[in-house]
Amino acid sequence: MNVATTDTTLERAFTPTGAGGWAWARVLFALAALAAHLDRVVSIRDALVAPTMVLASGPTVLAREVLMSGAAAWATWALGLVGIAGMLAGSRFARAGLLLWFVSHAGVLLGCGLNVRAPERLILFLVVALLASPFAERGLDQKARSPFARWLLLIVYASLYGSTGWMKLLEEPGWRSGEVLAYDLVDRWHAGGALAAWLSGHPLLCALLGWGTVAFEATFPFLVLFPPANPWVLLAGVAMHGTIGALMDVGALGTMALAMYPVLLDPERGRLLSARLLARFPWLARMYR
Amino acid sequence: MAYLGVCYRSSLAYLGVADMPAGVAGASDLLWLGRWRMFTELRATHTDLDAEALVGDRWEARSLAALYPSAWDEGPGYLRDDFYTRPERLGRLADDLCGRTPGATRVRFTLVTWARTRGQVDQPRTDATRTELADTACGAPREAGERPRGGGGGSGGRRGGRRGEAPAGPAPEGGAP
Repeated sequence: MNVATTDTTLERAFTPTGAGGWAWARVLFALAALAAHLDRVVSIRDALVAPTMVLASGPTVLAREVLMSGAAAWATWALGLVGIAGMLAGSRFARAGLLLWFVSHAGVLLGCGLNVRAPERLILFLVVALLASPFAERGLDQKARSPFARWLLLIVYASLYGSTGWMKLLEEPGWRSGEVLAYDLVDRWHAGGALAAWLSGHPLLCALLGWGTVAFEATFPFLVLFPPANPWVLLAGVAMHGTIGALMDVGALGTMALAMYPVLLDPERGRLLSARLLARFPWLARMYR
Repeated sequence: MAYLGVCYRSSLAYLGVADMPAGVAGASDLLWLGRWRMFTELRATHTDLDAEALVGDRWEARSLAALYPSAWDEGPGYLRDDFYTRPERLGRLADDLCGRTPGATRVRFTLVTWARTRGQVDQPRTDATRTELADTACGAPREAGERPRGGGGGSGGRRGGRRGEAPAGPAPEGGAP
């Protein structure tokens, strides 16, 4: 590949594209953050029970050195609400709001000596992508912006889904038989409930769901880049996260991941879908724009 | 992209099906940020941690769930596999439990595992396997890094060694499939 060809490829890859997806992502991300943040209220008690610091694990050395008082924990948590309000307000409040919420979220997490899991790590990547994006701007549905941050998100999502899908497909036969899923559906902590338990007793349904999960995750990195398949693979992602949400309690991963789907949608399709939605539900425009 | 690629390879190493990429073995913690391993492995058993304190000449059961209610989505903190497989962490729990149990001279922890039963909400402990993780004297000075008896001794958050050796924990390192 000569220099001219490389230049042309890069120019094509980084040509400004429709940026309306970021406006939807801002609102959805703020709502997902709000849901997760409200859910964390019950965990604030951890800060009040200092002896549980003995359970601190992961990169939480700070929690063992600096015990957050109850008042400090509540104040930190409340700052997160202010940040979320800023994100929802958009414009000049959005970036500061995002940072404020993230600092609050991380502060409560580390201050309480809690585990840092995949959802929190994904949030970090999403915050970086949002900060690199034009998500705070008004009127994004009328604008074209550099796709740099969208590429960043695509790489993160390809890694998130692709790596876990390939591991399941290549290294864990229990996923192909549905066994892994069946046992996860009766986990004492993140699953349970009558529907999940019932499903776990039906091997054929578990195998179908298992194959569906693996097929989506393993092919996502390729299909999401292929415009005709792009909306369908994202629809499959909505179905997967929705099913998980109905059957398991796995924290904020699903809602956070879904919040950025408008950006992953092919920009031209996204523009058309956005125009259709705003025409049908004009009240959405107040928050969106 | 290269970073996430190396993270994927390191996930395979943690899964026990590949070697850690050359040159990053000493810095595997840096790869943790992009290591997505979610519900990947078959987990056919439940896990619980039982605690007992020796008061006088009787072993008394102590409810860790009541004493340490701290939980985060995936269950109580003491049931994280990277907690109970680490001797230094279990040692701190032992010290704390001694302090909360008047008259205790020793405390011990037992890992209890039992098969998950598909098709039902209730998951009673039937045919449980019990493995003593630690039996610690209260008030005894402990060398830094001393390993309570049978304590597994993982490192860097690794769930275990090669495939099949991973301890059965309450949740994977990720959050959702």
